[in-house]
Amino acid sequence: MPTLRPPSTTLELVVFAFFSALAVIGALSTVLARNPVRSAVGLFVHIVALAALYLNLGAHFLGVIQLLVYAGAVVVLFVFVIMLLGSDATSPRDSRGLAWRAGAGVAMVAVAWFLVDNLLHIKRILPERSDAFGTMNVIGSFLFKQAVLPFELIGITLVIAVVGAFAIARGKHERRALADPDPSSPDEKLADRDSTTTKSKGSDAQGHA
Amino acid sequence: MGSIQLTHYLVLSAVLFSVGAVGFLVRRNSLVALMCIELMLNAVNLTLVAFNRWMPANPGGAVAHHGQVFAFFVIAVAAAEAAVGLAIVLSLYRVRKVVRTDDANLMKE
Repeated sequence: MPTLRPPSTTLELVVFAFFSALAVIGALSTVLARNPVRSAVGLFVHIVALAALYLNLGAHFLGVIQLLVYAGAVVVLFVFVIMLLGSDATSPRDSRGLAWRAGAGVAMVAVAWFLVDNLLHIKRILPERSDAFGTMNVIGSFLFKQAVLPFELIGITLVIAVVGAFAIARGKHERRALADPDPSSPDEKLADRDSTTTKSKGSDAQGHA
Repeated sequence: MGSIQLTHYLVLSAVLFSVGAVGFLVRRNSLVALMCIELMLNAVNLTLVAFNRWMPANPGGAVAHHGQVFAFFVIAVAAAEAAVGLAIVLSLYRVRKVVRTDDANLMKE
């Protein structure tokens, strides 16, 4: 029989206050920064703060997954694309005037208020949670017993996404280059590739870039 | 000090979602638009995990993790979406040399 934790402490509230402020700051800097690298850093701060909130909610497994997948993979992917695009990733200064910007701010507050106003009436008592709640052991057995079908489907989805991303990002131009690397002297090129490893590595990297 | 409530998490999630939604509509840089989609998905995940914390067990008494497992699947779909979205951004950049969403009008011409 697992021991039961006390439902809520002041510490939980302090952790929530700190990391929720961090999450909002990260989200705002993602939206407001003109340089996309700063947006990516804002997204990173937001994601780490949310991982801390997941830990605060007792979802240990999900906190780790959040750090691994989002902070470790998605943000790095964004930064890689920003690096590939170089200075072109920074969009030119917004040509819209002050009225449009103020309108966007008002729209944001209005949407937030509409959502928050509906939520303020919700009253739920925080139940006790057992020690097993949110651990990798229990979630793993849930994933491989009750949720095994969606789990397999998500694997297929990810494979399709990776293949699709590769197909889209390679483009028509690259495909032609791979099929016919050098129309003038194909035999020479082939022999060159066989003989010198450094050169073939270089051309391979170009083909996949 | 009072104890933490479900409302705290839901309000935070609503604020984060509206920041992401308005950012997606306002920003014209397609990279930032993709990041705003991630913000919205993260806000929804926070809601799911918070609801799961306030309902940690089935009526039978067994530990329930439906919210967390759903959030796990959302994270997986978000990763796939980011990969495909960034591939589309790269492909658009190859054709047009821009990342502005305004300039993605090839099918209009």
